[in-house]
Amino acid sequence: MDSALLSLLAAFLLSLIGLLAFIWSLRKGLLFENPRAASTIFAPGEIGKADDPALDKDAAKRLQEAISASHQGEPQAEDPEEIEDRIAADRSSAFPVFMFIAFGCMWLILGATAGLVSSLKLHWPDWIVSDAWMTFGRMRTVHIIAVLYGWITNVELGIIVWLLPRLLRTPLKGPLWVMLGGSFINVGIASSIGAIGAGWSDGMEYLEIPWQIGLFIQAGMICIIGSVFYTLLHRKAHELYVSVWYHIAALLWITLLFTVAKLPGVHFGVQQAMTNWWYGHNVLGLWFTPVALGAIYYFLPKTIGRRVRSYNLSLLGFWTLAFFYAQVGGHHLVGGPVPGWLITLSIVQSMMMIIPVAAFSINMAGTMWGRMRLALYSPTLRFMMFGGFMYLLSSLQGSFESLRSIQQVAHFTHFTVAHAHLGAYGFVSMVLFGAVYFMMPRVLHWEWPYPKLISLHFWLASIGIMIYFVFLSWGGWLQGLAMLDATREFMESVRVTIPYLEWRSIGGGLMWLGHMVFVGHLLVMILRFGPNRTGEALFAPEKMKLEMMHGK
Amino acid sequence: MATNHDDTRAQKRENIDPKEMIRPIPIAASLVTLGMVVFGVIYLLISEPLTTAQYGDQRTVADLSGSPQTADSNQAAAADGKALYAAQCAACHQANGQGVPGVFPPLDGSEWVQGEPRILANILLHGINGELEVAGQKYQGMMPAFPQLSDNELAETITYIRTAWSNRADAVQAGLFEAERQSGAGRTTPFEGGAALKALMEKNN
Repeated sequence: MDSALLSLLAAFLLSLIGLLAFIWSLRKGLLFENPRAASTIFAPGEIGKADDPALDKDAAKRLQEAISASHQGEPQAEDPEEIEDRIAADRSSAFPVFMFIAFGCMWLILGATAGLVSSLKLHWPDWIVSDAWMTFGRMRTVHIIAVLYGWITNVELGIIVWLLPRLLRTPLKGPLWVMLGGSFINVGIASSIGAIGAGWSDGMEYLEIPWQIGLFIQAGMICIIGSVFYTLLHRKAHELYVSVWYHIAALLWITLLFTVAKLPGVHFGVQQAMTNWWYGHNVLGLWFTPVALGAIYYFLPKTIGRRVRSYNLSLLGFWTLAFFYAQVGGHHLVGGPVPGWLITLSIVQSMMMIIPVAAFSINMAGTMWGRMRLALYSPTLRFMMFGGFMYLLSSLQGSFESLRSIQQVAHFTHFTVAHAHLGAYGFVSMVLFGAVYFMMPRVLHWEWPYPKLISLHFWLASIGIMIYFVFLSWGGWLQGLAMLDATREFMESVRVTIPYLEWRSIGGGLMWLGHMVFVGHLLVMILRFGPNRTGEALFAPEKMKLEMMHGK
Repeated sequence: MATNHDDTRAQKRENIDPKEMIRPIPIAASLVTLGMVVFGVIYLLISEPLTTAQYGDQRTVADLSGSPQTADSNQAAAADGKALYAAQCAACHQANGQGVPGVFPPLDGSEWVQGEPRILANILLHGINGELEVAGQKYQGMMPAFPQLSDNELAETITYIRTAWSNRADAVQAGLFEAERQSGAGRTTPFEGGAALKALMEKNN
């Protein structure tokens, strides 16, 4: 056997052994003190408080009794300090969070519109083409910048800034710095969209933002990180909940990734392509995904009033992601003039990502077990569960899609586009919607006025993304087969996709309508036009209550 | 802020912040982890990423070099006249062979293209620099020479332009270029327009 192959194999195995040793030492407190292993994990007396102020007193009491009974001897006493901390935390973060969500929703409308226009252009090629900025090449890029950086990044920053003070039980330190950082970032996003419309782009996937404008985004991230770390240092909470790991790490990762990938005058040739996809895949796996996972880890158990199943699974999921994700991007360069061992290693690591996905999914399934029905009644839970399930689906699909045998057909087709939307929309955006539905009443001190609109939004978004994904994957696969067939003309591989592209526009149109409902509803809430409701916005409060009482 | 309701009611009614239980890793998760590690080792071993020169997707040079090679020694790959035209000629003469009026002469319906193949071969080998009349219109331009293309490629190219669009002339064999390269070896400059081409035609007749 080749000695070079042996050393590659040895490096792979050694890194795995290193990871296991690291996780084991964390559990045993070898490196630093592990408060969780040493002492109680239950904060004094909190779990299972009934969450429905719409109930009258008797009903609330019955509900509380039922929940207490279902928790079988777990400490129940209310911890009044925690609620005070929570109120103080929410008050300190309200303005920055509102700013991030508002900007995010604005970019969502713009980005979704640009996306729908791009989708329509694929089967109506002559529609609105009179100016350069209206053409597909720029419109699609505007869509990408607006949804990835404008919508997802803004709302994820909002979630981080809202959750950390709660989880650390400390008011946010330096909210003005966070808002300054947010302003820098949004100036950067607005300028990038203008620059791309005018034809100024760095020309690499997900890195189109010109580096001069990227400086604004870097400055903004540094302001936010400073404030977040200051909050972390002044925390009252003894232990760090799993969401905190994901969120803090993701903030550091994205800043490092973006800065390295945007260094001017450094990346050339093959190395530039590798940097491009190192960034391109990491921005998904080390920024969008961990923040959304952190949000699920918080909101899902929060809504159902249960504890997360296993701390050990959380450790396994987080550290396998952290150790190995950075090598995944190379599989985009299959077929390129790149060393074979690099592609092979990247494919192996892409498949290894099944480990964190399995760890997360088993953990969440264990936590939810017996309470899945609650998704019928609670909007946040419904979006979170849908998102969590799509995370499982899109990650498994992504792992197998990296294999050479699948790429032979799927590479350079619409199949990849469908996969990207399943991840960025079906998983991440749905989680963000759920989080916004939970956060905004606490930020604005006003309930969602029309719960039915939330339900409408959910069905438009979920049916839309399913139509989008199924038809585009199907069409993409046929496209790939047609391109492989040497007896068919290339144009045939284009023509075969047209009906599927039309279905994609229909799915995209439904998603776009959903966004209109969502942002319109938020606007009504901000302006306080609607009814002043007092209870939580649930689809069926009475059934939710019964399920909490009598469910497992 | 409205004063008629409690600003903190949402915070007060919610469930406790989530915590985690300490439990051993479920057997299913351990099996998945072990399975993936075994897969990784096997994949690294069987894909032999270092021992063979391959394109990243396991295709080799032979897979990518197109149609099977002929035994016909030095002119290995079969040339594709249409692709050569698109790469070498279409920038001036356009994909539809119409040229650009007043600047680049058309090939579609051109008497030079459909006429004596020997003259056409010489135009490609040496180029033109001077006045040329095509389809009743005078052009004052410069046509570059293409001696860098092989005889086979040149023959495929002019066969293509002689049969494309509305042109219906005979195909041309690579042997013609071989002969004309030798007979025109003394010429180092392009033809000086239509007159020089006509002179060539008469000289050999």
